[in-house]
Amino acid sequence: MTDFQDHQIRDRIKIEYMYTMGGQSKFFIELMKNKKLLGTKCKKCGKTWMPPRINCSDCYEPADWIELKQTGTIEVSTIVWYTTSAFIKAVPYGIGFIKLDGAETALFQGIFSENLVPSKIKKGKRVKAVFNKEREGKMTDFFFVPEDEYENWISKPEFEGGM
Amino acid sequence: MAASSYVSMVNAHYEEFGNPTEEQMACVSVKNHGNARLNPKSQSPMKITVEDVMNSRIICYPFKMLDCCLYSEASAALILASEEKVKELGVEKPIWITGVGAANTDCFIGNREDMGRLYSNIYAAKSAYKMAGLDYNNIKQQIDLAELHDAFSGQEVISYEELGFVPFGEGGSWIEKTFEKSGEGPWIDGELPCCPSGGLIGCGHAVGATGIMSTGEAALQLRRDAGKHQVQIEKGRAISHSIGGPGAAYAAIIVMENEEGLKK
Repeated sequence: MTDFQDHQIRDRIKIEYMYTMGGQSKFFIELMKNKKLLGTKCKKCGKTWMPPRINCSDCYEPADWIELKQTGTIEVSTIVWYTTSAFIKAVPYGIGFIKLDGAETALFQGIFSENLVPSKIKKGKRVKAVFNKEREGKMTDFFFVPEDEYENWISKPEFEGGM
Repeated sequence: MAASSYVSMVNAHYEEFGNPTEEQMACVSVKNHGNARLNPKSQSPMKITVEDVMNSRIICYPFKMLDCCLYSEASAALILASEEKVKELGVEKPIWITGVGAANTDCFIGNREDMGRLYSNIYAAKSAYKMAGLDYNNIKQQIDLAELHDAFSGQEVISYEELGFVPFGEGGSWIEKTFEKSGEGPWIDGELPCCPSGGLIGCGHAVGATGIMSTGEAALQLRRDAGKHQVQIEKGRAISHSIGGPGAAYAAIIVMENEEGLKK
């Protein structure tokens, strides 16, 4: 047997990459530039999708872009205390499925509250979208707050209200 | 991230039916960690109480640390053979797969009309039972055990309902009742032992290998080779259950029978 010795050096691989939002790009551009929340409406069956689908997931027909209201209702939620490194500084925070007014499917998005307890963000509670002042065209550009806290949130320097 | 998709289903189920409560979910954790103590291959054997689960660190409301399985690395294998090959080789105590069911639902939970239910579980169970000639509404009386996909304690409770063990809304009270009956454990007897191996919570969740593990465990039970966590085999029939994919959209159920089960 040969005398095998292992010498290891710690190094780092840095990868820069881009990815495209493809057919959904319009949603992210409008979010970033105009603080609008766009859904889609199926040309055939009329179902309104949010998050948007460029083709209807039910009948596979193309769908038209439509602007949706920025208010909605919580369908289900949780409060997160343990998460990935990207969000760990924000814990505890709420997340949940929110049906925007006029949409037939629910969006999975952050729900923040000044008084974050399960009852405050439970099913049926009304919420409104708040936008970061600095936006990159990502889902983390906006979040929801209870309607009665909206004015407080948008008065903070880092956030603002929608169109 | 997986916790947040399962917790959405569990919370939506709670909104609709008022259960599973945090204590009822804790019963599953105590049961599965406890059963794992009898399984030499398990990775998370623990003797704990409902209070221990309730007091463990919160992950995402209402799941606590001990409600969640441990993501793990492990391997599992099954040897499958045709009926002809089994006979040709003279395999002792073969276990026969008599029913297979698999189904998908919307991968994105926000598309689901009923967020508190996993329809793929219901469809997979119904088609597997049908193939095996079993009755969905009477399944609890027709099998000796079930190895379930308990990635999170609350999901096991909902599976009791979706797989037809109890009517919708009664999973929480059923686990409470069966849990108390076995006292300090192990929970490998009673009406229908679920996860006698310890399940994913007790064994560890080696994603991708666990469905094979659960199926192998059920087969060992039917061969009466499970060791210390052996359940009483009377009907000669068991099921294994696995779910996966984004939003836990995909479900698979396998019905297995030993030679006695085939005759019944």
